[in-house]
Amino acid sequence: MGPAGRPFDKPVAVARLRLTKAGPARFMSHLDFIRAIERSARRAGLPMALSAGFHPHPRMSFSPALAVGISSECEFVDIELREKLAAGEVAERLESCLPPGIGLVSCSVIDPGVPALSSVIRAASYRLEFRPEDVGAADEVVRAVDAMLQADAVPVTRTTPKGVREVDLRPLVYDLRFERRDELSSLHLLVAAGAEGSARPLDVVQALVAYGALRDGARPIRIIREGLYVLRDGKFAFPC
Amino acid sequence: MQVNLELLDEILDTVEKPARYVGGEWSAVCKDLGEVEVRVLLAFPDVYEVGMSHLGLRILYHILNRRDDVACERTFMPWVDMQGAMVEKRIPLYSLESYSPVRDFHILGFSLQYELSYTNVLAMLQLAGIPLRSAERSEADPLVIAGGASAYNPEPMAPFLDAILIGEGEEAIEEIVDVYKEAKKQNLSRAGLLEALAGVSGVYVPSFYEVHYRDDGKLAEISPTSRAAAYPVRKRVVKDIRAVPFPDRLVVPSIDVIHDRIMLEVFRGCSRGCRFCQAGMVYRPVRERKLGQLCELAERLVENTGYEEISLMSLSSADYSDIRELVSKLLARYAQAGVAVSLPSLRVDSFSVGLAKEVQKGRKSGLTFAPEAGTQRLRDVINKGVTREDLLEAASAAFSAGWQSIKLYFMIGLPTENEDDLAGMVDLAKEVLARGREELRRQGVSRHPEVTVSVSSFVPKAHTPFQWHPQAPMEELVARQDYLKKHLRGRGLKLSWHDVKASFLEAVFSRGDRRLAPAIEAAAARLGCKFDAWHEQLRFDNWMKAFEECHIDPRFYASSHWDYEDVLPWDHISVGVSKEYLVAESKRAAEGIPTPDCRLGECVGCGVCPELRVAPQVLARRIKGVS
Repeated sequence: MGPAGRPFDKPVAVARLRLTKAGPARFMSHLDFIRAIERSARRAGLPMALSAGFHPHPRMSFSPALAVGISSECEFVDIELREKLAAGEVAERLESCLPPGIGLVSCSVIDPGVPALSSVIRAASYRLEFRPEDVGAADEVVRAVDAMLQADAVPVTRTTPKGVREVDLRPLVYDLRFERRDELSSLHLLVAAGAEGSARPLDVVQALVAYGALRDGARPIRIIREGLYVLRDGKFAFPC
Repeated sequence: MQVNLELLDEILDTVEKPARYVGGEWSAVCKDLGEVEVRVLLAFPDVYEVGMSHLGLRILYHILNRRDDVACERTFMPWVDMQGAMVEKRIPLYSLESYSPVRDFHILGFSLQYELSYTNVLAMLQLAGIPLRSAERSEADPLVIAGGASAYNPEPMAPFLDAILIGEGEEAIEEIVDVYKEAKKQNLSRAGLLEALAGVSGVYVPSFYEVHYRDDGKLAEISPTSRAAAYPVRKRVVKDIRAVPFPDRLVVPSIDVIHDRIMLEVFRGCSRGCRFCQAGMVYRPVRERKLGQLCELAERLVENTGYEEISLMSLSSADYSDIRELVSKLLARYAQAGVAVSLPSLRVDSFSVGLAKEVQKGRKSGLTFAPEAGTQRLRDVINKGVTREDLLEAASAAFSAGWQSIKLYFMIGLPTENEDDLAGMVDLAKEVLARGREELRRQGVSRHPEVTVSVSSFVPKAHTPFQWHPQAPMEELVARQDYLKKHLRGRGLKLSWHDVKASFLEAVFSRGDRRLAPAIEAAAARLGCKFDAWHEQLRFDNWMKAFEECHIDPRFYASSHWDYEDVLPWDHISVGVSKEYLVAESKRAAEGIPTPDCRLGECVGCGVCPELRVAPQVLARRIKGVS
């Protein structure tokens, strides 16, 4: 070994995983999730391609971070491999090594050199579940949603550790639809996600309260990320 | 039965780091509680991230869960926000595996690792709805037991615990479970169960002893009140470290905990004999695992956990007889696989720096040495076998190997400490910094070296040669800290220190007796003291109020000199090291005479081997005078 440590492994393939994150795993932060996948892959004995240097680490790429507490039916992870494996083999080895709450939905093996997931994801869909008493009357909701979608700007405030700032939500919300059932009301969202800007589900809740579709203090019982999309031929599509 | 999960879900969305409270980690064991005979709950009285960093808890968890007749689950102290929310929503303390209320378990075992966690033990009992005092518990309550490093003087907590395991738990915990099972079968009462437990070697049942006091406040006598009670209670010790199970699976936390890596215990015990160090006295004798066994364990642990780091744990890992070979074997096996090897504690010498250099290639964070005292005189008093030359050589070696920052651990308030010793610390720190400048200049590195001095305050500990010594008064400790703040200034020098109030409370409890229990109860149950080890949570004024209400002068415990002839609060507990030896060591300290390490050849007569019928397990050498 030279003074610069080990050379990096040349990736020969990329395993692209679609995972769910629910139950206890929904409380993992993005960093916790990265660590959990890395450790799962090591337990599974996947031939991960490692970076160069004295402290080699697996080369992986993740879809945009999910906020703590939100479940997901659709997280993507790319793991670079130094040996080519069939997708079925990757899935079989990995499945039994994932912690509770993280599930493997599908796996494909693609050529190396694909752009990082975080840079190609453009949109996310979410389902938010509310108690019926938190949602306005049917006609109120229709009026409020129309008003919001026709507005030129929908300002909301975001509180971050760095302070409070205002964001215009309008260009980031693509679609929004309520579905009423007796015991629960669901809100289906399609919003921008990724490096070029994203709307958070709770931003939309804030706006919907302001427009009167949701009652003051309404809080979703559950938030689920249902899909993540890339732009392909002008349409939103799954990345694999 | 489970706690109300809907209510729980609601509050989890409102608290900091909810992952602390949901379990679901890799290798967590979830059994059907209805299918086992004994349900054990291991409880750690601090937050999840601290508790899950404790190797002992993770070992016992797997030992118990290997058995088909036992289910072992875990619980931790909820952080202040969660505790408040649980009280408000009436959610009792529950286990992380099955979300069962604590009261559903047969045995509740607390890990007592430091004195400042005692209020959390009571807070957890309260949250669980279990009476705080052993005497108030009924047949329907779980058996409340404890063990761990601060259980070597368990007296301040005596009234709250049904039974306490003194010493090492791997073998004893199974015997405790067996006794419990048998007692249940025979329908024994709680009292009968305690009598049976007192028969397990190492188990101490506090209610079987009476303590009598003299008019001057000192102890007159500790006497057993039950025929089942041993006197003294001898520490439980694992005779053959190579034969006890070390788990090849570990629960892998889902969130970042403090020690989030494979903790591979290379040996137990330390016979260097630093006179202030409780661990060095109570974990004797030294017992090393075999090289081959360690490599095999490492292999299986990496496979089963997926961890990216193996830490070689012990009280002083460079002392392991085959450390060179162990390190090179592990590096050869894992360096290319992205699994790092680390050494948590370093001796002050260039050999250790060499080892650190080998494992920490590339980026060099910081290196820590613990000279403990500033002058050779005081280092001889405390039997820290380190010279000024050792330190400077080690520092030079570190700077020349590429480190740019070094941390030095010192203690203030050690017996006989005077201003020369403080001046000595300043001098040593500056000299180390000068070596750094010289070395970095020679290498042509433009960065400046950094030396951080970290000072803690001496706390007299039970079962050590300094157990009779008072802690310096708080004002005096503050004055010494001020001296260091004044003199350790300038480019490249940093100083950090401990809160003297916390150290004072530690001293009170480390030399405490049963009369302190009402004060702990008042502080925890009425005055809101909890998380005392967390600087921003410590409510010292409320502690003082608690002592006052209970007519206790805490300085009696922390700040007064005790005589060799005095009955000590822990006299009925034997760690194997004889009192005669501790007295002799205390006298040698006063004269500044060092005592060698028995691993170097000669038995020093500490008494542990004959008293506990054990022998050191050292790979390389045989110790003379010990059969």
